[in-house]
Amino acid sequence: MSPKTLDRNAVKAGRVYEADLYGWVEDQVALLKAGEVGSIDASHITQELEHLGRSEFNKLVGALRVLLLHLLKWDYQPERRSRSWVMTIDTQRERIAYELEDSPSLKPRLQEALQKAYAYGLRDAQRETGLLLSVFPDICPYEWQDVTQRPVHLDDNPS
Amino acid sequence: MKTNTAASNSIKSFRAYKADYFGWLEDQIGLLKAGDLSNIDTQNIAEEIGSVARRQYDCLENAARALIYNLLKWDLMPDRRSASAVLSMDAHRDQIAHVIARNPSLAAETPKALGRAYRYATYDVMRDCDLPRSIFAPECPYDWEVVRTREIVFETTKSPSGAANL
Repeated sequence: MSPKTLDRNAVKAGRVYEADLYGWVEDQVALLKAGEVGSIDASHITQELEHLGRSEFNKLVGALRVLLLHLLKWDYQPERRSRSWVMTIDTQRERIAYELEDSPSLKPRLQEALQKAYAYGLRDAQRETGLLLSVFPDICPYEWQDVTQRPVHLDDNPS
Repeated sequence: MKTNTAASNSIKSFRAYKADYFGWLEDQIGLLKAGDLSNIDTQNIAEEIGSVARRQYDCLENAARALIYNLLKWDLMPDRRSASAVLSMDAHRDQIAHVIARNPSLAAETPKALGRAYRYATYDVMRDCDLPRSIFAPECPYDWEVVRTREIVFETTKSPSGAANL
């Protein structure tokens, strides 16, 4: 090890990620803003960015989960349809659209998100409707087009 | 100039932070993992990493707000003390201890957190207990040590028979 390597390690040390997250951020932000990329803690920065990526994906799954739950209830308990279900469906569709507008690169992962969300939505639907799990399809019966666009209107005169 | 142009040309092939957040994350993670640090988007990574610290601070401030809210109610409305208020204070003290342990440098921000948490907590108490603004001191009457450690004992007057020896 040359003295130069030692110096660089000393600079890198700063405050340690595991021991002091807040202090670590202050140090890394200062290094990044100064353009001192040779001294940053790249592996923990990577870890934090990966974490943000997962939350971004999970936000999409979360919105789909609520949406699918309500589509299932809509189709399997039509007698209970309500204005509040329509509002929930509209709201979640909007969230999904905004999410994809901010992150178009999530689009290749839509099928994965849909399948994951359906697994959750299915269990939610079973719990909330009290119907048997076997009543619902095992795999998501809705195409992406249905999920995001199928019209959902409350009839003025039900029955 | 020539090197600058070359650099900006290669940057152009990456997805932009504002236009495609998830794609930007993927690209930056790829660059970091490849050790291609000269091409990373330092300013926006700094912004994103900064949000990690802001969340830690918010966690501290929110726990302090809930804790001060209960302390104020405890002192202003002694007849409404309850075992659940004690539990809530214990839980928020644990949360504060946990955040500070994970972020020792955050201790420097406690005066700021205390001031803000107190101001929000006074509004919460005014609203929930229908108390006038005038009874609250302009500055937090508790110092940080008091907030974190003052002993809170709730002496219950009703002791349900049979439950005492649990």
